[in-house]
Amino acid sequence: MPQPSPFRRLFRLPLRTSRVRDDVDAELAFHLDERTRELRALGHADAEARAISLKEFGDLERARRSLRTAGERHVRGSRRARWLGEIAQDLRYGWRTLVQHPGFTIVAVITLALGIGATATIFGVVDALLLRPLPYHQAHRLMAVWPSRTFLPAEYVGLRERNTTFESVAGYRGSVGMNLSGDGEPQRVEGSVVTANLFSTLRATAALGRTLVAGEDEPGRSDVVVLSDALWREHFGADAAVVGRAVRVDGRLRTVVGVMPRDFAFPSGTTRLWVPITLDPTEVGSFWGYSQTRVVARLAPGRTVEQATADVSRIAEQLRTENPLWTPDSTTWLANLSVVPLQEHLVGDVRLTLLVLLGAVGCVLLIACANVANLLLARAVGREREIALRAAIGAGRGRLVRQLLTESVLIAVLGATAGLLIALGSVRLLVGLLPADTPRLAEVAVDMRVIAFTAAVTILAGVLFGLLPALRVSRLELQQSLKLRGAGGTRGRRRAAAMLVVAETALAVMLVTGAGLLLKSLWQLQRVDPGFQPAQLVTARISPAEEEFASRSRRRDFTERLLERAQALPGVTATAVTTQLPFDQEQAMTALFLEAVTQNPNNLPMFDHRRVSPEYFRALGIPLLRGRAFTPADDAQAPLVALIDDAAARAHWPDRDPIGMRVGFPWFNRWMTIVGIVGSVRNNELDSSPHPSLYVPFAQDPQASLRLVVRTSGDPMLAARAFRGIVADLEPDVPVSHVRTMDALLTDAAAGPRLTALLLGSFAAIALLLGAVGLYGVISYQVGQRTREIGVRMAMGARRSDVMRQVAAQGVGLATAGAVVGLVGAGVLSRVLTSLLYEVSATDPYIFALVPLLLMAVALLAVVVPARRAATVDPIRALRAE
Amino acid sequence: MPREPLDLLQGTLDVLVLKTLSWGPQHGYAVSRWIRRRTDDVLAVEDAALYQALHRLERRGWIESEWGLSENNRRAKYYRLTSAGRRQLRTEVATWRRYAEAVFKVIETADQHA
Repeated sequence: MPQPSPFRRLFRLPLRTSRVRDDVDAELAFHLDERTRELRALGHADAEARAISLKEFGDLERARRSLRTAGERHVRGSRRARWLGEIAQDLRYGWRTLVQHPGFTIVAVITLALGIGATATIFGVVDALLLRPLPYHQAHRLMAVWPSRTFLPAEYVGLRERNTTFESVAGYRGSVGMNLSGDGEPQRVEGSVVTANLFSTLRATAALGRTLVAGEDEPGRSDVVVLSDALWREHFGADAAVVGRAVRVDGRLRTVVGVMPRDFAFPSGTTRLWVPITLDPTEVGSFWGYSQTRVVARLAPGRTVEQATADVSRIAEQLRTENPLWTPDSTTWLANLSVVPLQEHLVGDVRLTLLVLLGAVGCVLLIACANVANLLLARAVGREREIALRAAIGAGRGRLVRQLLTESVLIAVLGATAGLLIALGSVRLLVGLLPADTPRLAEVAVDMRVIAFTAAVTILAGVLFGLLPALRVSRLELQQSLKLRGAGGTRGRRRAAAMLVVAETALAVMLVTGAGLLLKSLWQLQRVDPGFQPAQLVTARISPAEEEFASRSRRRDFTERLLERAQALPGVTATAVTTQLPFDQEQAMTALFLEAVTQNPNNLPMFDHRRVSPEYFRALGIPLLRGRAFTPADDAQAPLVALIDDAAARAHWPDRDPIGMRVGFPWFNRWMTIVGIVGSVRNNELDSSPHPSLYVPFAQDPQASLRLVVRTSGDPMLAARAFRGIVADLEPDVPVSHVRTMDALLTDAAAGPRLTALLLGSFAAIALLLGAVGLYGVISYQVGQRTREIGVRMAMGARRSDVMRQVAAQGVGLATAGAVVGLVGAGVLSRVLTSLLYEVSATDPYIFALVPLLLMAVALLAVVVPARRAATVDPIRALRAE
Repeated sequence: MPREPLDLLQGTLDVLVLKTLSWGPQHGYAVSRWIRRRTDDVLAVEDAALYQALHRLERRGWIESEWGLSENNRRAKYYRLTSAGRRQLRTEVATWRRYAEAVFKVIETADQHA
C-alpha cells in the first residue's frame, strides 16, 4: 500500500476521533450548501433547492455514518500503528544501546538474573505448597476435622452418622508400614488404611480400574487394595492387567481393584497403596481401643466452618456421655477442637518458613533492582547530549520516559530469561533437598503460573529500577544539558545513588541478621544431646507378617537367632532388637495404669512403649540411672518387669521412688514391676522434650515387627550389607528395609531447619555480594567524577593517605547508615522468626553485634580499590584534564 | 438530452475521481459538478458514493486532503493527487483503454455480421 511521503506525514497531526466526526459533518454540509446555492442561482426557491440537493445526494445519513465509522477506524488504526512503531523503535534503540555498552549490560543482566531467578524458584515452591488449591474438586470445602487428635473407629462412625453439616465424612490412617509379598522379594511399603468413602469424599477417580466403593470397609468385603501409580510402575511393571490380580498385604490376600493417577498423593506423596479399614463394631478391642484414625470431611453445600465446628462439638459430647468408660478428662477434652481447611492442615507447619523465605528473596530482588538503578543513574550522565537532541526534535517528556522505561524493561526481560533458566535448575535442586514427606512436594515445578508471576515481577522490576533514572534524565532542560555539567543535576544524582546504597545495605543487614539467627539455631539443634550415642550405630527394619509370626515362641526364636548371627559379624561390638527406635518413623504409644498413683481412669498417662532385648541400652549407650537393667534372666517364665526413663519418673513419681512399684494394663490383667530407671531419649524432634517411656523385655512381650540395632567398630554400612543375607538365611520371606546409620537418621531429623538456614544463608550471601558490588560501583564512580577535585586537593598539600581515608570513610559512612537502619528493621522483624528458632532469642545480642562487624568488613573490602585509585591520582594530569 | 443517466460500472468511479483531480486540487462538490458536466449528465454520480470513494482513495494514499477556503470563503476540504495516485491513474487509464477497445472490437464485429 503506497504511503504518503514521510515529509508530508510530519505535518499531518493525528486526528482525534471527535475531530473525525466534525470534519465529516462539515464536508457534507459544505456540499449540500454549494448545491443549494447553485440551484437557487438557477431559479429555484430556497427550500426547494435544499430539498433537491438532499434528494440528489442519496442516503445522507447512511453516508454520514459510514464515513464517520471508516474515519474513526482509520484514525484508531493509524494511531495504533504509530504507537507500535514507536515501541518497536524504542526496542531497537534500547537493544542497540545495550549492545554498545556490554560491560554495563552484562553486570545488569547477571544481577537481575540472580534476583529474579531466586524469586522465581522460591515462588515456585510457595505456589505449589501453599497457594495452589489442592488438586481435588472444590478443594476448599474439604476440612480436616479436629486435626490435633486421632479418632477411634467408634468415634468416626458416630461422627459420620450423626453429623448434619458434612456431605461426606471419611477416615484414614497415614504412614502405615505394610508388607507387600506374593511375587518376588517381599517389600516394605508405606500405605494408608482408609474408609471406603475416602476417595469419593475427595472426588478422586482411579486411572485404572476403580477406587473403593461403599461398604468395602465392612467385615467380609474388605479384601481389596488400591495401588498408587508409583507402586504400579515399580513393583508391577506398569502391567495393564494388574486389576484383578491377587497380592499379599501383611500376609493377607487382597485383590487389586484399581490404580490411582500419578498426581494423587493423599495423605502423603509417599503413600504407595490404600487398603480399606475394617469397621467391625463386634471387635470391641480395636473398635473402641485403637485410636489412630484421622478424619477428613467435605462440607455440605451452604454449611459453614462454624456450623461444622459446633456440630462436631455436640457429637463429641454426646458420644462421651453415652460411653463414659473411654473418653478422656472432660474438662480439657474439647479445648482444641477445630475444623480447619484440609490445605491449611497439610501445609500449616511449613507456612511460616515459606513466607520467611519469600520475604527474604523479595529483599534480594529489591537489592538487585537498586544496583541496576544505580548503574542506570551512572550511565545517564553520558547520555545527556543524546537525550537533549531527541528533545530538540520534538520528543515530549512522556515519549522520552517511555523510551527509557522500554530500555529498562528490556534489561529486566533479559535478566528474567537468564533467571528463569537458573530457576529451572534451582527448583529441581531444592525439591531434591526438601524432606521427602513434605506435603505436595511432587507438585512443585516451573509451570505457567510461575512464569506468569515471573513476567509480572520482571515488568514491575524494570519499571521500578528504571523510573528514577528515567524521570531524572528527562527532566533535563535543553540549555542546561548542552552547557557543562550542571551542579544541581550532579548533586541530585549523587544523593539518589547514596540513598539507594543505604537502602540496599539496610536490606542486606536484615537478611544477614535473619540468616545468622537461623544458623545459630541450627547449630544449637545439632548440639542437642539425643540421650544416646548415635555414632557407629546401624539399624534396619525387619518386618515379618503378623499372621505368619503369630506365635510368641516363633518370634522369640527368630530374634535370638538373628542376634546370634548379627553378633558374629566382624567388628560388631553390641547388638540388640527393639520395637521402636529413636527417630523412627513408626511410633508406638500406650496408656498405662500406675499403681498407687492418683489418676483419672478416663485419662491415663501415655508412654512410649518399647520392647527391647537386654543389650539394648548398652548398644545405644543409654545410661542406667538407678536400679538394674534387663538381663537374659528376664524371660518368658520370669516375673514381668519394666524399665522407665527419667522423664517418666519425674513426671509421674515426683516425690517417691518408682522402683518396686507396679504399672500395667488392667484390661489385660498384666502388671509389671519397675526395676530400674534409664536416661531419657529424644524420639522424633530434636527440639521437643522426651516423652515418658516404658521399656519391657522383648522376651516377655515379643512382637513380630522389630528393629535391629548393631554397634560396630568399623564401617557401619559394611555390617549393614550383611543384614539382608542373615535374615534371608533365617526366613526368606521377611523384608528388610530402612537400613541406615543412626547418624543419618539424626541428620534427617534436622533436615528442615537445616535447609531453611542454608537457603536464608545463601540469600544473605547473595545480598552481601550485591550490596558490596553496589557500594563499590557508587564509590568508584564518584572517584572517577571527582578526579579533578582530588587533584586540586593533592596539589594543595593533601597526602595520599588522607585522600584514601576520605574515600574509604565515605563508603563506610554509607554502609554504616544502612547498617543502623537495617539493625532497627531486623530488631522489629526478627520477631517473626521466633517459632523457627531453637534456644535462640529473636534479638540475640551476639548475632546483632556480629552482623555490623561483618558488614563493615565487607564495606571496607568494597571501597579498597576505589580508595587506592583515588590515592594514585596524578594531580598534574588531573588538573590539566577537562 | 432527455435520456436517463447511466449507472456507473463498478470501479469506474475511482478512475473518474483520480482523473478529475489530476488537473489540480478540488473539493468534493467541485469533483461532483465536474464529472456531471464533462459527461453531459450521462453518468449519474451518486454523491454519497462519491464521498465514500474520496475517503477510500485517501486511505489508500492515492489522494490527500487539506482544509482550505473555497471561492466564497467557506471552509472546505480539498483533495489532491499524490505521486502514487498519479502512477495509479496512469495504470488504470491504460487498463480502461484496453478494456474499452476490446469491448468495442467485439461490438463492432458483431454489427457487421448482423
